[in-house]
Amino acid sequence: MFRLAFRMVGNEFDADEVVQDTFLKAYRNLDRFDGSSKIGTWLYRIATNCALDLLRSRKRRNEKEEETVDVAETALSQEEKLYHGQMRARIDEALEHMAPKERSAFVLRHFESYSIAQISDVLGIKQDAAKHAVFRAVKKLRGIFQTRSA
Amino acid sequence: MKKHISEDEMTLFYYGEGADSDIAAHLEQCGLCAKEYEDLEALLNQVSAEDVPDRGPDYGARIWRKIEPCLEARPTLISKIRGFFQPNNLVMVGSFALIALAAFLMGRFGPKTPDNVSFISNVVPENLLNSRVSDHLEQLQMLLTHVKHEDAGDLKLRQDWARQLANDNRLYRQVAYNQGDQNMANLLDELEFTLLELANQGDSPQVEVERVEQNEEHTEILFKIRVLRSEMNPKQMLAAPSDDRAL
Repeated sequence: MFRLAFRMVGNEFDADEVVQDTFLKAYRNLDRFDGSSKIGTWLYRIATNCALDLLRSRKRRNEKEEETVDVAETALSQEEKLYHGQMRARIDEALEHMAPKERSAFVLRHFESYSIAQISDVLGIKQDAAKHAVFRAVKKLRGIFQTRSA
Repeated sequence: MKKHISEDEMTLFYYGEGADSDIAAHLEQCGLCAKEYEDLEALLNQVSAEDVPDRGPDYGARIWRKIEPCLEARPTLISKIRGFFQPNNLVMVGSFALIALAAFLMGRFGPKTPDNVSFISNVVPENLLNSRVSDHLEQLQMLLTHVKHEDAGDLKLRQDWARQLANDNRLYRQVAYNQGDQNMANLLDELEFTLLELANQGDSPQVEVERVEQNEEHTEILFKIRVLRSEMNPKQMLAAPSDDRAL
């Protein structure tokens, strides 16, 4: 669960928050679990949604901060990139360029080894949509890496 | 020769979801596609190599401690019963009273087939039964946690433990079913299957592989047990969170 959260949000602090939110929501909504999917799939669905919520709120927060502390933000980004290393920074950048569904589908497929069928189940989308979300994500990832390498 | 392979087909092939034999054959013959695939494979492998920080074996317990203050009690049986006796449910209450009367008369004058399950269902107070089931679930939780983290050193001991718990489990499942607690009966049914698997498991390498594959399943079951126990006795659940590496 932490692994999925970390891949989705890119840092330990936020990933911990996602794991906590996931289990809180699961506990409060256990009555809604209808047993049609495995409980692991249900938990992953909640975790994915929690991660996407956090990313959305982080984006809004960053947009606000950018308006006021543009220079500080840029300096912090550089520090973070140095800290995490070039590879981590590129992966983060690629993930940031992905739409929420693409990001979720890619993380589930690539890092969690979920099949396309399982991804469609977790994200509540058709298998074709899940497949194309992975394709688009891989294209964006390649695009970022090729640009940075050049 | 087949036309060149698209990036999407290569992506599916990399993840083992494409028409593997056709694509593999094409990659053997076409240098251009082979180079393209090599690049894609190298990139995706590179991305996979990025590590996730290790949270340590007590991560599950730490998370439960953090969310503990936020966990409000889920609706208890008593509150459900109170809700049931609201005025708008009185017609239904009357219907159930009639059914109960009919059941009593059937029991009083109908054929007698006494057995342990119906005796326990009828005679043992529900709170006492809940306490026994909660203890039983705690034992199960301990066994599954033990199985998840230990080697096969004391296999015989584990098998005996699982067999004993399977016997108890069967009784509690039947009682839950008789009392109309379908959720509990379903969970116990699922647990019984797992317990019988553990009771009959050998120690060959193949079984060891299966055991590893079952870990995820056991983690899910542990979560269900934790939630169910929390509903029966929230303080007990929150006081003793166990190691749960799936977190």
